[in-house]
Amino acid sequence: MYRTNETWGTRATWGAFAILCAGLATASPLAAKTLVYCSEGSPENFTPALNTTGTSFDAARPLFDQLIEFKRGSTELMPGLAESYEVSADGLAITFKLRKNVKFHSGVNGFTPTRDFNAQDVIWSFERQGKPDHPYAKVSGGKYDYYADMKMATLVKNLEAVDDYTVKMTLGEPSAPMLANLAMDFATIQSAEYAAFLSKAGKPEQFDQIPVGTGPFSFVAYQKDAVIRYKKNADYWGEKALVDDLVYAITPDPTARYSKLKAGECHHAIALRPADIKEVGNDPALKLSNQSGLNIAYWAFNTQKKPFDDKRVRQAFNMAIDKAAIIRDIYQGSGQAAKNLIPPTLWGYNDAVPDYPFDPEKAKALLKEAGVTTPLEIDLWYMPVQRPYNPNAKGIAEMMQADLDKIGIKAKLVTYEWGEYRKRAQQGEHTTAQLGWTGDNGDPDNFFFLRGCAAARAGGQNLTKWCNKEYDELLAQAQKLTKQEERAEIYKKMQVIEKEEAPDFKIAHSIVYESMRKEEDGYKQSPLGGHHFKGVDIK
Amino acid sequence: MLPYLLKRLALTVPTFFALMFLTFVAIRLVPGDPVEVRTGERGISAERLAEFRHDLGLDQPVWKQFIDYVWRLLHGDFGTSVVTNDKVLHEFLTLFPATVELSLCAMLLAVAIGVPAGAFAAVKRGSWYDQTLMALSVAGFSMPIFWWGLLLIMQVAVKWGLLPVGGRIDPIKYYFEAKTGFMLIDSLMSGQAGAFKDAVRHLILPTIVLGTVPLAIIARMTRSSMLEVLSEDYVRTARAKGLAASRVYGLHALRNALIPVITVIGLSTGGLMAGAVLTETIFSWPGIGKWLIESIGRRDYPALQGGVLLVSAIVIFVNVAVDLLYGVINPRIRHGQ
Amino acid sequence: MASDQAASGALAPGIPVGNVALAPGGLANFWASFAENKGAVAGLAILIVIVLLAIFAGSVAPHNPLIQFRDAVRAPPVWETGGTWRHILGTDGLGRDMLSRLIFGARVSLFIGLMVMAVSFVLGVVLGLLSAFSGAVVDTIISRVMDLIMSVPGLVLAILIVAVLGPSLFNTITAVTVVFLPRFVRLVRASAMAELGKEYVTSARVIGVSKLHLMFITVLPNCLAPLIVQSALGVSEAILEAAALGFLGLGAQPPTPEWGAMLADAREFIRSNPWIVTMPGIAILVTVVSINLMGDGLRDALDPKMQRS
Repeated sequence: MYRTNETWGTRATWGAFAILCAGLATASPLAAKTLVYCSEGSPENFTPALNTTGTSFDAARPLFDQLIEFKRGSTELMPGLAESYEVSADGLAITFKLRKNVKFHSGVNGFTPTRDFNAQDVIWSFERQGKPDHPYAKVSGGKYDYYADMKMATLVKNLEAVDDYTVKMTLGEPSAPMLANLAMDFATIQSAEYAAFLSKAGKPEQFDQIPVGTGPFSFVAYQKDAVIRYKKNADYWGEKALVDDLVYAITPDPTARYSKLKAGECHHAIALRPADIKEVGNDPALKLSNQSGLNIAYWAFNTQKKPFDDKRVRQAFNMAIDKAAIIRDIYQGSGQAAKNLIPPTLWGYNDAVPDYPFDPEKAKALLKEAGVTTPLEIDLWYMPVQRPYNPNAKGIAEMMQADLDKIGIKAKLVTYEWGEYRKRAQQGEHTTAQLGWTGDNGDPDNFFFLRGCAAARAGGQNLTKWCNKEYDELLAQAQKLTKQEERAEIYKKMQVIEKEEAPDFKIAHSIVYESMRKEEDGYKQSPLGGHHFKGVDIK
Repeated sequence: MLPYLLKRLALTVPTFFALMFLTFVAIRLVPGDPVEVRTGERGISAERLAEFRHDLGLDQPVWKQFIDYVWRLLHGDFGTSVVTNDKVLHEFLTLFPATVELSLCAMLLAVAIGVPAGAFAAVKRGSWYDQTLMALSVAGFSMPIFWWGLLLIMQVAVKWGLLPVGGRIDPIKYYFEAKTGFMLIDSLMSGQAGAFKDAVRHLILPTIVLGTVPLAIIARMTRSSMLEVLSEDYVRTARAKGLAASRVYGLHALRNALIPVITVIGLSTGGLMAGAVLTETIFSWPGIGKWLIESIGRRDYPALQGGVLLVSAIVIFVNVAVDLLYGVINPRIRHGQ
Repeated sequence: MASDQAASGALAPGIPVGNVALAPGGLANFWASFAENKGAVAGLAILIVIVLLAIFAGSVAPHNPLIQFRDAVRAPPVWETGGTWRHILGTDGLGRDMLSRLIFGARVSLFIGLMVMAVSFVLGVVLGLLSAFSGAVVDTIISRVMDLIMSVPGLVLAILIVAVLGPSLFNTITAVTVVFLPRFVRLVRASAMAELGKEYVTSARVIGVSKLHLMFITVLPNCLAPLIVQSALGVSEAILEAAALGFLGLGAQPPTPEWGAMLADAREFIRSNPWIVTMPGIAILVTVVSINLMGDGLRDALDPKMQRS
């Protein structure tokens, strides 16, 4: 629904917009180029530090920059608002040299910046998240989840402006991932001057609703559940926007997204239904891009409950399920069968590990050998919601149920409300449960800890509650090493152990598809799942 | 009249209090909470959860939460949505016009077609027209509207591409301020060429879907009410006196036949406003019904509490209004006696 | 059912029964009157077929509704290109035979409808009569509670109840029953109030009939006609409401073949495989239409006060 006046742009931007619309209507060859992206939901606000959802990050992304940035379409780091950075020899200090002549957007919400971006803005943005007495700490709910999750408060001992264009960050201990953390959305740099301007006007809550940033696009307007409008920032310091206007058409229904894309009402759409993606591939006016998701969908066996304490039973279950059919009928092309915990695109992946064959007869024999009397009743939990790694946990559960029935296992399907589901599963209330994981920093450890002993405690994220000494020791060993090759060797060993022990049944790694019209050019799909439209053109 | 009105309104007060209490309790019995539901696989640490719950006041004893809630309600504060950080009342008021617009259009469709169709069927009682109409009306009020909506989307919107799949207007092409919240009016006032037409195009399918059941009911009601009136003495007299058939049916009969129909219209309008849940969900129509469903899914306690209370208030007041209206139209009923 | 109640009506000697159809020996009259309405007869016929299908689903359905034909996932129905007689109406997203699922689904839907009706009927009679007979305090409490239930939109209330209790077949029935209860209570109360003023009630009171006897044996039989009609129509509405819950994922749990849930699962294939969406909807529509047609006939036959249509 659209908002009332106070959250809309100023009269000035309104006027500008009217002119723009008139331009669109006449559609001459010189008319402004508009790129329309059919997004899936409304952002909560435009301050990434406050948010945790990809939808909100995507909405803020055209507007802002970070000190360090991910190269478009990769996880490689490159300088952002920091022209350069230097890590001290002891690893305890990082010094950032800031870029000069970077302008904040002018004319949004009646605000005209009087100075360029400088160290004050960096300090302001981090202190808002870290200092409870910061004037904006409590604005818009004042919860900074990523800042907390990344342990920024304990990692960063001090942050100071050496001069206007130099910022020094002092760390409590050396932290290799810190630079990558600073490229994440929560570390976005916002305008301290704009914040002061709004405080003075008595409207601080507008700070997160009518954003002012340094990014390639500036904010025009936002109508909740309908549309977000941006326009090109001609003064942008970096890779410039190639279109004049960027529109996020908020379209929660996947069928509607496909219809709009097909009708040319949007140029770019995400998260279409698998059945529709096939049609996009066959449509000469459309094209697809895809990327293996950094994720895993699995079905965990609670190894602390009978009969799953017996390795043979777990192996039997692995052989009883027709994985190929699940990939074909549920993922319908947007997933690949998984045999290891990490996706094959991640370093350390052990491709030599053979997956269990689909062999119900052998499964039956193994069950018999393990002394399991059939029919055996178990619980099979499935998530009530779609996840990036699993489009339809219910469908998978129904397929598993049918397959298990053939080896004499009666599975009862169980689900709870999503929050409740995770809580109960982490407590180990299930006998078997589906879940999955989405990695967020590209490090294998970010996946392997899921089967470690620390996570196997009640309430921990290891739903198998499997605690294998050898595996756990290797996990700890790899954490301490710094050389990637050495770590990779250890991870390969761990994958062999884990496969043999079979604490879970690995279902799939999803393949993320994005669909666009042929005339869209220059888009690079991010392995981290975000969407960037700078450098994208309409031909 | 006035004492009756006051009495009716006074009677709603305990209902409201009970409603406040029940929604409050029911929502706290729903498993899951607004914090947990928003965290992903990563989960949330116990300390952070406690902090969140403290901020939402969820760590207080339930009775205290309730007293706080009532106290704020009495001051007109319905609370703030946990998800959008927007005032619940404000959110409700921005969404409500969408629901009203859709309900009124649906009801207009139902009346505009239902009344003449039903009246005509009564006059032509037993004809093939009458029988077809009655068959259609049974199908109409037996319609599972969520399926009906999907079917129309599938055929009209997806296959033939004639009308949009959902939403209220194409926000990419048309862009203007929400002055009234009613898209038809706003689009006209915007002065943008084609905006009004686009708003109408978006309205057609949801209106048909939401209007189907009331249409069927109104057609049937009108028909049977008309039949009853037609068999009454004064109509026979009028006909015997040689009044033209159109005058008899039009003025005398239809007017009297409409009295019970108006009650149905009134009551179902209240119901429609509150209960366009399925239609709004299917057509991504940003109204109250869709909002309530989503609030349940997100465990947004304040939005859900405030929303249910406001919606129920509307239903109750519409019912009172219909009662009063009924008394005005039908002189045989006098309230307060 | 009608005959049982006719018998209980006869138990109260000397009390005139106001309804032709419920009078002893009125069954023939009732049927004659019912049969006059062609639509009602057609509805009854279709309903009987559906009920028989539901009862004998095990032997009628071509396949087990839970078996997944992995070689024929999303097979089209026989009349479409690529359709085969093995799956006359095609298969769903997991390769389960659509026709068999629809037939077994009839069981679920009819069960829900009947259960809701039965429970609301009994509770409605008890609460309604209590309300009419037990003085102002009880009456006010019951009436206000019913008002309260009715002031919350039906589907929202049902969803809330299911959200509290957790989704299951049983809880669907509970939720829909709560939503429907006020109608029964109000109907019974109003009919009973109307009867209370009549002479036979006064005379029964004078004779010194006990209150329970007065409530259930003297008055109730005379309120039954509209109640039966309401119940019949209530079954169809309960089926619709339950299907709506199923559609929102809050009804019977998988792999139960419930029509509303089947529709919800099918949404994914709205563009690519439309028949998966179409079939369950038609099943719901046909069932509800036939019950409503029959209900109309019942009303005409049982309640001569109402205009015949």
